[in-house]
Amino acid sequence: MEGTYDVIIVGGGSNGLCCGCYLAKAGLKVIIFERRHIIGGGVMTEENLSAPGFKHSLHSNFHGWIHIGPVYKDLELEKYGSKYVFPETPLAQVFSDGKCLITYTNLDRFCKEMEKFSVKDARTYRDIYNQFMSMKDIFVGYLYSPPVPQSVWSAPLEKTEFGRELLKMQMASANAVADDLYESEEIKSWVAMVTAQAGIGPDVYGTGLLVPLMTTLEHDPGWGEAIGGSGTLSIAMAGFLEAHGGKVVKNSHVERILIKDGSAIGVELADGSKIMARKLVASNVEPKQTFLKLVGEEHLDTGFIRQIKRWKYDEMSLFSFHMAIHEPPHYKASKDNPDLNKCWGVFMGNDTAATFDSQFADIRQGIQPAKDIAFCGIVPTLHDPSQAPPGKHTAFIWHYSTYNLKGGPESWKEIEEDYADRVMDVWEEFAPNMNPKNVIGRYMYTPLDIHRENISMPEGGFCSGDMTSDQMGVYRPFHGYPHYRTPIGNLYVCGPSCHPGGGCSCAPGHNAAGVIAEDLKLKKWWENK
Amino acid sequence: MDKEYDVVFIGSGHNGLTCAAYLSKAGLKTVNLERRDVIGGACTTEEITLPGFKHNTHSCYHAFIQMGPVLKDLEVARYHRYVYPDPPMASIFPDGRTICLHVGKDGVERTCKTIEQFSKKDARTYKEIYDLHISAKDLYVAWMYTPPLSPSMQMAPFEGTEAGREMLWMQLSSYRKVAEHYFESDQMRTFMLMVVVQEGVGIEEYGTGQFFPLVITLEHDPGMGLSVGGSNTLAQALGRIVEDNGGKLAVDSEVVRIIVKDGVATGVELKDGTEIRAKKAVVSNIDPEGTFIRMVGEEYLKGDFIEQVKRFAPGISTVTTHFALNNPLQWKVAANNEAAAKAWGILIADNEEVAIDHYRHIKAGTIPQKPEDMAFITVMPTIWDSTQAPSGKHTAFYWLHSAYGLKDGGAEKWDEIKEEVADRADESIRRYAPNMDKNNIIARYVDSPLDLERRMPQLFKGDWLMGDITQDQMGIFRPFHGYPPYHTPIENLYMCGACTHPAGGVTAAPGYNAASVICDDFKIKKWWPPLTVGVKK
Repeated sequence: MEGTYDVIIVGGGSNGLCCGCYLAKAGLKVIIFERRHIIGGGVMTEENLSAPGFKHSLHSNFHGWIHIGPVYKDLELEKYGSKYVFPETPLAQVFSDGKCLITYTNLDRFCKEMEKFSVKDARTYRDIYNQFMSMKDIFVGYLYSPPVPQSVWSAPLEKTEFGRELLKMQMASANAVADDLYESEEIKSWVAMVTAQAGIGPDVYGTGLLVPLMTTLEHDPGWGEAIGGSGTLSIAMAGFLEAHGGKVVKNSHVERILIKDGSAIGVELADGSKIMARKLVASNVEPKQTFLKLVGEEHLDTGFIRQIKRWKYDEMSLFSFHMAIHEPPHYKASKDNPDLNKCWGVFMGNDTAATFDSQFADIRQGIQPAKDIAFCGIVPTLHDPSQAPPGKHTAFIWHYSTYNLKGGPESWKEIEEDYADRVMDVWEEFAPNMNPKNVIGRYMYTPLDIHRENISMPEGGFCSGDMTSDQMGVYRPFHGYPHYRTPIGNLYVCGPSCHPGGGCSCAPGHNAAGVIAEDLKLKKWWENK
Repeated sequence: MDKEYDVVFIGSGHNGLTCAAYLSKAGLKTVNLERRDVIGGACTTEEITLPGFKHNTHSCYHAFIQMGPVLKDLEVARYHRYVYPDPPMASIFPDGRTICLHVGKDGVERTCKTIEQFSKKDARTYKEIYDLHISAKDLYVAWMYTPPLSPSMQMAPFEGTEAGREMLWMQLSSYRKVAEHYFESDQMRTFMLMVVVQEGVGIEEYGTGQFFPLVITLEHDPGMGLSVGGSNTLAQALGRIVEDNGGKLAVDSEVVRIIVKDGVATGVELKDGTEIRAKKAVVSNIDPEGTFIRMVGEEYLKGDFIEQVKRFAPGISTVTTHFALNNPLQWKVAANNEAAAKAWGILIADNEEVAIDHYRHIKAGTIPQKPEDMAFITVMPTIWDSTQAPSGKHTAFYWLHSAYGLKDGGAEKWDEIKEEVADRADESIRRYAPNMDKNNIIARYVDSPLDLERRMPQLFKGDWLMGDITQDQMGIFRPFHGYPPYHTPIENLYMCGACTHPAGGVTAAPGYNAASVICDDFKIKKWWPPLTVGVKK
């Protein structure tokens, strides 16, 4: 770590890596400091947690935006070892009456599946999908560019019928939109589950646009699973970075961002060493820590500090546990459609959107639901056997939850095992072979664990800050400065607490690299190819 | 009654009357066809407990109309009088302390004095927000009394400045979040939440935060007007103005059908089969579903439009319990603050959690089970207007906001449980005013959400605002998009009720704005002065 670098990036999450990759190829000397023993932030995979030889991606697991946006191709990630499989049956939902709804990546096949519940709804879905796909480029462009003020965004939409419908959706809740569009309770419930994947409750006003937006991820090419686990994507980015003269240093916690005359000049690590940045420092860490801890209030004005302090962490987190298992689940509902047993993830326990709502109401009260336990049970090895020893499988639970339990976050340690057993009881009800005999090992990963392991996921939130309308667009994470810039000269932000938010899109890192290139008058090598 | 008018109004709520007053004075021959035996829509005053006790069964205070142009333009004061209670509202707390919303001279300073008991910082912040936003008061008023702008035009002027972006931030955020951002004391937050919910505004929904500075700036001057003699006197005054201008008011005249020929509204049909022709326009003062599904008929409308009409969603409803009393309620807080005990409305919510949980109950379709878990406003109109009860006697009522459809049993359940729910709220009041008891109560009348809808079907699902005031149902989306504001897909058919911009409450703004666009369409000279508030000179 001798010498100085052009660019220091605080945090080796997927966005920090992405930003570093773009800048390295643009000719800058980049170094990334990662606090943990593993790179990738939420895009990571660890082995041997549940049992020897089993790999688990503890956070991000299925990737959509990265394949729709430009990053995967720009960074030639396949060349650096990344490989994806796109299951034809990524997700499904089972209902207590024995029916199931499988989300086929093939639109026609999916609409046929929807017709089991409502012919009208299937038609509506296709309609919305087609209309929205005609505008897909606009939305992808929106995600992979710095945010524009809402008026600029709204003006063209206001001119057309469908555009106004989209604006209205944007202001409504996903539940309200689903209620307006669909008649079948099962399909409304499915929409609620799908939109909640964005990290926000479907009953929250301002989430309605997720209804058409998330459906674009379901088809063409659909959700992708990284072969070998999500971490392989981060490793590929690190490979690209190193090939272009950059470096990622693990186990290096940045304690301070060094400021001189109002500008960032370097960082100080936990061991006291100081590393200087010739051009800039970019933080992949969420704003409260970046500014209140790493920078320090003494360098900031009160109006800005007020903006930072009101930043709200994600309302919801995930309760999960990862398992090594002998065999994948055989669902009772596979009688309804045998493809169910090939589905990567299966939602269960929420027959109607109302069940889901009551679960969110419980989450907000700081309690784990006593009844109506709803979650997604996922088996990554169905489509990528390399994540387990031959013939064996991995599985995990994705269950919306809260860090702030009524009894305090520490009480997770008291209830986690019992609650996991209750979740498994539900899974067993739907898939009888998911019984204790099938489980080789289990690794608990609660909101408390997420919070402790990842400083950029405070309170276990996986979006680095709530994705509510007041924390999106030009307000993510603060206004008053051109986006990805900050009140400190040469200090940038590039994490999921910036536009367009959490999820494995690498868009914040990509967009930050774009504005940095503009500020430094570098040629954007990734444009006009 | 004549069979032909220039403009035929369906309904005679205060917006329909306002619109008719403007148009009749502009020279048009108008008629307001009213289903009930009295004009006024939700400006009702009825002797529902005992003779001589006048109860405002819906609207009971008029805040926004005081700031707009209508009272002045129509010289309503010739026939009508308002009184302005000080304080109009006060929050009371279990320890006997209070926060009062004061109006008139030094209203803000006196309000801040009561806030200081809980937090000096909050009192300071309140004053700061008032000072910062009061200059924008005219803009808010202009926004109400002008047809809505598209979202981009509405937002663009705010995006360029720090203060403007902060305003937009509030708009995108939730009222509760904004209140918690600015105020530290639990009581102050409780007070702020309780004031805004009386306007029917949600507190946790995103897109409600802009009401936060509005509450602070708009409520102090002149405050809440109480219509002397009851809310219906405002409607009667507007009705007289209509008649002075040659307009006709017809009660007991229920419209069952809007006659549409070749896509144009040409008149209406009454329940008894009479057809009334409209030479220029039919104007609906009622809700979208009533107007289009019941009266126009789906066969005249496109599928997309029908969907827009059907999805227009109601907001919350309320249980209103009216009392005829021997004596005014004796609030224990009088020992600490005599003024608070005389407030027109007493806001009861023991703390912020109670206020928030009460509204979560509404969302969930449930009712708080314990008296101390209820959050509501109790009102004593006769302290400020003795004409509303026989000499020496008093009235009181409370609004206990509630769901229309209950999780357990739906809306029908209300008939069975309303008395028991009211008992629980009475019990809650007794904690603060012990004389809410058998000796004092001469009579009680409980109006449930279901009763509210029965009396006024246009207030569908018992929503007194005629459509939820969430961000997706405001501005150009209220009640549907695709047509210029106040217009409809049927030519010569207009909307002028609370389901249009800027929504419910006694503002007279929908009626005022509709009159303006109708004059524009028919090239009729507007006799009234252009809106002066909010226009940069």
